[in-house]
Amino acid sequence: MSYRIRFQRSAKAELEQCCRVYACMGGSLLAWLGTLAQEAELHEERLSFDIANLPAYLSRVVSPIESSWRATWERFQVATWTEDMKAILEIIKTRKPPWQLRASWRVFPVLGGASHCMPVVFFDVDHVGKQIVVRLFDGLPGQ
Amino acid sequence: MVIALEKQKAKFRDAAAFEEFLQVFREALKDDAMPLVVSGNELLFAAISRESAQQLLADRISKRLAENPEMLSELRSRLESDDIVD
Repeated sequence: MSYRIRFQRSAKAELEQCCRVYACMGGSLLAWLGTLAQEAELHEERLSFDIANLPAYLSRVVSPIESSWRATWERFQVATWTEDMKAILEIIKTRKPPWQLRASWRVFPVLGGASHCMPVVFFDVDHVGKQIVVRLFDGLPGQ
Repeated sequence: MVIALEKQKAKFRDAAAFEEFLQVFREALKDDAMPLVVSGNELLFAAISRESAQQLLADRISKRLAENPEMLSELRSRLESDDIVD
């Protein structure tokens, strides 16, 4: 049995709102979360990324010659992004291990393949409580 | 999405066709490239290594955060909340 799936109340509301409008999405989204929970239990995360590694990733890819990243980097500079990221890394650091904040991204067909969506989900993995807690969705249909 | 190929065996014409497909697929994966399986003009799927998958995820997630910086602020606030439900 995989880890239990729990939700931050607002994330649950985002999921329910999506499923109210796009009922057909419910099964796929829950299956996605189920896979993430299963991977967490097995400590074999392939479909999610550890947010603690994001600054290291960005420092590797962001360079003046990396044109596809230049615009993105400029957005980071003007936003409060750095401050929020530091705060989040501090939260990750101060939580008692083993605890991780991870994110996953997927493409789903919508309305029988007539369209598609690319939601991102942020969740934390609590290996002591044997659960994942879904914190935030972005990019759900209708969101 | 990960599909266990063994479970898809019944969709092949016969065992030999399945084995032939596996052989081609393994060969394509060998160089850590991104093999694409297409049917006519339609892309059926692409396969990437675990390392490439992690890079792809980091890339997509970072760009999404850059497009919508308020998301990080919202995430921060939610991480500080203990309002957890089943």
